[in-house]
Amino acid sequence: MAVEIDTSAFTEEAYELLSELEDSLLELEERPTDIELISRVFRAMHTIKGSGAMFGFDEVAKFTHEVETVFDMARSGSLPVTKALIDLTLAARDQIRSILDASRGGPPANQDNANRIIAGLRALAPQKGGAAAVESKAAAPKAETDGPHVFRVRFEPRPEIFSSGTNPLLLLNELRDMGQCRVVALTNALPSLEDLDPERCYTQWEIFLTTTQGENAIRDVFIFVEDDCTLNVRLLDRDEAQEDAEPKKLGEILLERGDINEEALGKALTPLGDRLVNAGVVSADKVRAALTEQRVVQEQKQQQSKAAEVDAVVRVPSTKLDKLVNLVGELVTVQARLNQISGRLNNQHLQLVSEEIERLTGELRDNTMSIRMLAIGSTFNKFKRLVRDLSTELGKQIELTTAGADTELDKTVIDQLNDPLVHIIRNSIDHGIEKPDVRALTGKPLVGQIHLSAVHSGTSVLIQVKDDGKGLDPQLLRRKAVEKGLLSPDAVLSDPEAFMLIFGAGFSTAEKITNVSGRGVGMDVVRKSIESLRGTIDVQSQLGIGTTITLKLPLTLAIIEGLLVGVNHDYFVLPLAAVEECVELSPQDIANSHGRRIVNVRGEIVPFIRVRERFAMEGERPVIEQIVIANVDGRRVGFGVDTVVGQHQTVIKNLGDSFQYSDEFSGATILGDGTVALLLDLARMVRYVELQETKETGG
Amino acid sequence: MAKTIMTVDDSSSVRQMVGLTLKGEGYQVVEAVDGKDALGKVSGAAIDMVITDLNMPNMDGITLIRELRKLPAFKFTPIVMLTTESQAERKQEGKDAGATGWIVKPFKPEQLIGVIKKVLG
Amino acid sequence: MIDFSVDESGTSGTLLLSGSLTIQHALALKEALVRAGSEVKQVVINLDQVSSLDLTALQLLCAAHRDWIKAGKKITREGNVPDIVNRVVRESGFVGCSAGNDAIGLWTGASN
Repeated sequence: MAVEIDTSAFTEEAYELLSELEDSLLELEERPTDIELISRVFRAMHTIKGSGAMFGFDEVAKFTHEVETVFDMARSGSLPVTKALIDLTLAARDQIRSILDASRGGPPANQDNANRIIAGLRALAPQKGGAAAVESKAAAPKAETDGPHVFRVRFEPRPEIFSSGTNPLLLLNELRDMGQCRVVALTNALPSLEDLDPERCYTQWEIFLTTTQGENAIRDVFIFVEDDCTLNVRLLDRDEAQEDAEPKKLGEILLERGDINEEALGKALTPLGDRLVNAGVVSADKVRAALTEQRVVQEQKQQQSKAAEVDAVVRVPSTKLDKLVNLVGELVTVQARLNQISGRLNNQHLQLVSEEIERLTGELRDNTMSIRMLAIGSTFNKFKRLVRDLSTELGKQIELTTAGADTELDKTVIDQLNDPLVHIIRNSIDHGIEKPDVRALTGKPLVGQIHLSAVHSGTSVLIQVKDDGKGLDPQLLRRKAVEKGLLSPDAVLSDPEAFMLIFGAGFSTAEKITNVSGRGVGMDVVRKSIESLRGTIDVQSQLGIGTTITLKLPLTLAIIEGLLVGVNHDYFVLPLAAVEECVELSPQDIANSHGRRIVNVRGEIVPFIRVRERFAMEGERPVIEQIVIANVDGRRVGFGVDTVVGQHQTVIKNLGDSFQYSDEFSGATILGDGTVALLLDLARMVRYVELQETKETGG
Repeated sequence: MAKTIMTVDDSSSVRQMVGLTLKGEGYQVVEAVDGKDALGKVSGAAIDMVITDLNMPNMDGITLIRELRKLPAFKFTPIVMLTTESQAERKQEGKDAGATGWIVKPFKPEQLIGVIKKVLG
Repeated sequence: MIDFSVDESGTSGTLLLSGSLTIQHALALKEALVRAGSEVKQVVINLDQVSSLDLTALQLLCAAHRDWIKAGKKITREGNVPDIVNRVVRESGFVGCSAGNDAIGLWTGASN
């Protein structure tokens, strides 16, 4: 932050203030009790001090501070305005003037004179043990040297907090800047809509912050709202680490936090959280917060042990690891079957064992997967150089910032992510960020920003490349696509759909082909790579503001959440992440659509593909078909099946070489009863069907 | 899209310093020399935040805050007051009048920006 | 802008929210939500063009969502959930607020 400030503005003002000060002091001598006059004198000195410090006139500021301190007593009435005070203050005024003169090349100010004035003023003041100013407590937060700690911050703002102009969410963001932060909103005080006063705050928060900074730094964030909230900051990990080796159990945490009492806890059994909520003992929010606490403390422990065990590394051939992943996968499959059976038999003992096995299997699965996990940070680091070199080459000023470098992803995913990210970032540098002169014209900061971030979201990882460049022009994209014959002139595309055009084969919007990007191959490759990782791409852009490309990737390639559907006696799995909703298709609907494969979803026309037809399967269609609506490349497309079985944790098996030509399946999975279900690659299916239709209609 | 901040101070050098810092961060700046001037300039202008000195002729900062909070457009607007260490008791007075926070003078540009991020985002 | 319109059948209504859903518009948002809740059985929410929102909007949407689920109303969403909305949901800790019953995909805090 380097702001060039012209100091003459200060000196000019100071001279003016000094002459005003002289007038006021002389008047004050005649009317020593005139409060307005005393205030005016005080104000003049106050301004000189404040501005002096800001403009780097430290000597002026220091000296004036001493004078002001004494004069403030006069203002508050604890020191009478006497001739001696006025004489000394006038002398002080002359002294300030000579300091200012000195700064403009005049003779140096006499320091002895300054000391004499201050001594004289201090002698006037009633003694109360040194008038030294107290340092503001907002000064540099004390950094603790012994590594990061987990704090639990309970922040309960008063309902009226908005009326002080406070936005509590900004305070949460400030905490987020201090370290790893998890925020849980407690919304149980939220009344029904009818009774809700929209201008009051009903939300409270529990924040779990892993930071190297101390408690004071956390409290400082809330300094403006100290009186407008209840704030409770507690260091979590330290005492835990000493008391017991195991992270706290959920029940213990709820107990300790005073959210439930012992008796209520005793009554409840596993799975504890749900039962407590169902029993109405604690609110779901509280359980959520307690669970978050459990997780954050656990993670911090893992981090610490990770640091402690740097040298205890075992090298294992990746084939052994793959075998382990396979076995765990099968265990997950068998466990699902066990769950099914125990649910049907309704035997309590069996259910307890089954639940326990479910928990262990889940933990085993997560653990096994985590062995294959690597932090994405090293990949991020490579891009710093890329950005630096390319921006210099193109005469642009670009700053790359990153977040979430410690986000972990399956090794295979990370390896295959490098090239797509290079293409996206190149594209941002080349097409996104404008040259400095263009940015200056549009009032943007000269230095463009590219922000690269990774964050976990459920079973996915979101990787985002965000720039503050010129953004995508949907009109231009449409026109280009039509010109290149990639889009029919009468096609209607929404803006998000138009944005997706940049990922089409042979598409390039650059006016001139540069050697950075613009050959129109890069972005097409990006889409293919991301799809092969079972990921999706989302583009958000605002013309003139910037573009954000979000890659949503599965945490692991071995297990996904799927939607199991049936056609005849065969089963298929659709990636649940893509599924939006399921609707029914009646004979009436079919009649209404006059042979076209479309379904009307609340007024929206959605095209669909019948899985049965696509794969030339035998058997009669049921009277009522099920259409699973999925989001494929930002468009809603339906998939017609006979039955929707439900959610299914899918352990993916690769298809053998004999299936290499059927790339509309991205794998297979084995169901609890041994049946094989094929995993559908929705994007490929859509593309092939479209290709076929173009051929048919185009002759 | 740039947010607009009003800075109220009888010292032109403080106004200049605050103004330069804010403009450097991409904010639009509206200046006023005291409370009365500020009240005269708020109607019609879309102001996202106010930074006001406390000691000013005509109308002081506390009164200005109180008056602004009465206006519907300023009911929830962040208002930050410029105080000094010797005015600790006025902080409370300002908070009671409806101030969002304060900046202790003298301050550095980065401190000012820090406070703006805290209350305006 | 906040707009609520009922279709011809009178059973379904669309709540179109766009622009900034901040405290200055909180009263209007509440009115629209109350109207939607009292006039139709099926509410379609469109957040596609929301450019900013704050805690007051989250509180209102959360309360409405709860009330409607309780009253057995059908709630769906059309259009996308903009990044900014997801971000605010995530940053404010409202993620998972109505987990398990998130028909409009608003409380996931993730890009869709």
